[in-house]
Amino acid sequence: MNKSYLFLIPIALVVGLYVSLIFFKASPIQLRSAVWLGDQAQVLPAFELTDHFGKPFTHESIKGRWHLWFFGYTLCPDICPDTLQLLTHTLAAMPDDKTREQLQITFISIDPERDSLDKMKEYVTYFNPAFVSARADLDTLRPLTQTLGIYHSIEKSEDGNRYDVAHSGVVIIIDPDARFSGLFSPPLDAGRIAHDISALINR
Amino acid sequence: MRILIALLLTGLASALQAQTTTLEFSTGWIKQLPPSIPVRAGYLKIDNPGKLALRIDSISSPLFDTVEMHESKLVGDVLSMVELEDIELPAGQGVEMRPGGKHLMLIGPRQALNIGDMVEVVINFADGSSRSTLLEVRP
Repeated sequence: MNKSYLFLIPIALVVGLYVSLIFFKASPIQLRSAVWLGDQAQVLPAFELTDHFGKPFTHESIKGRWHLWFFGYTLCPDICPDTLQLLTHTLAAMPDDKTREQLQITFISIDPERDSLDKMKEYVTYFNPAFVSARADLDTLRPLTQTLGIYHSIEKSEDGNRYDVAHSGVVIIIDPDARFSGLFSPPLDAGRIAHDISALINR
Repeated sequence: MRILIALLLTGLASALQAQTTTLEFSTGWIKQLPPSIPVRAGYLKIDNPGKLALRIDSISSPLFDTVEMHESKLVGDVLSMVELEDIELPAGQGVEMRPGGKHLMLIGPRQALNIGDMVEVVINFADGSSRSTLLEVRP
């Protein structure tokens, strides 16, 4: 073989790869920051929370759309507002309304003792009227947060003056079959989340 | 002798006073939240160009029941918020409060706050001196 044709090998490889990707529809989505579980997506355990309209928030109620879940509490004036604002920017950064409508962003309370549905509704819709919030008592919430690897703890001092809360700051991706299918880890970036979730929706 | 001591004390007091008067405050702000949420985070930047470290012991505001000093931390994936006893202002540095880091936790607003309102906070230092500054309510 004439040496001058060697340069064709890498080109042929790239073309071959591209053709095979189209042929097998092995989605070549480029994710910028999501941890994607792919085939390892986990079916969620049965759960029943209540959303801020007073309706059940369950497997059945969330099927058919993509979801981003963020865990927090309303008496969190620093990081939670920052994250909710970032999720507002995420919605704004999505390419079109059609893609946007397929995504629901939900805030789930890890401090249900102090968070009422009314308070949560006012809190999340202040950032974006499209946001929904949901709560359940801790015993009901725990199997769900455990499956998702969401750590949360509340430590009260004996005099009740100190109330230290810690919680996982990841944003969970739930697919339209109500499966835990990925997550975004902090520090979060609205542009990257919008890019990745749009790529997944439009795959 | 008494006069000498008195003079010495006055001198010392004014030297300490001089420490906090050289502090530089940058426009601070408060993150607005809906009215039913009884807490707000406040942020400000204080530069300490002096040669002595200073320490903030407590903070108060006429518009809030209580003001605490808090710090948010991200360790791995876990966000936590803890109350601070005090905040150090190292010599030649100071402190920059920001979302996701050190901040003020303003609890129990005594009146409705609107975007653009200026809220006075009084910062009390370990040396007994105080400084007051204004925080702007922002969206």
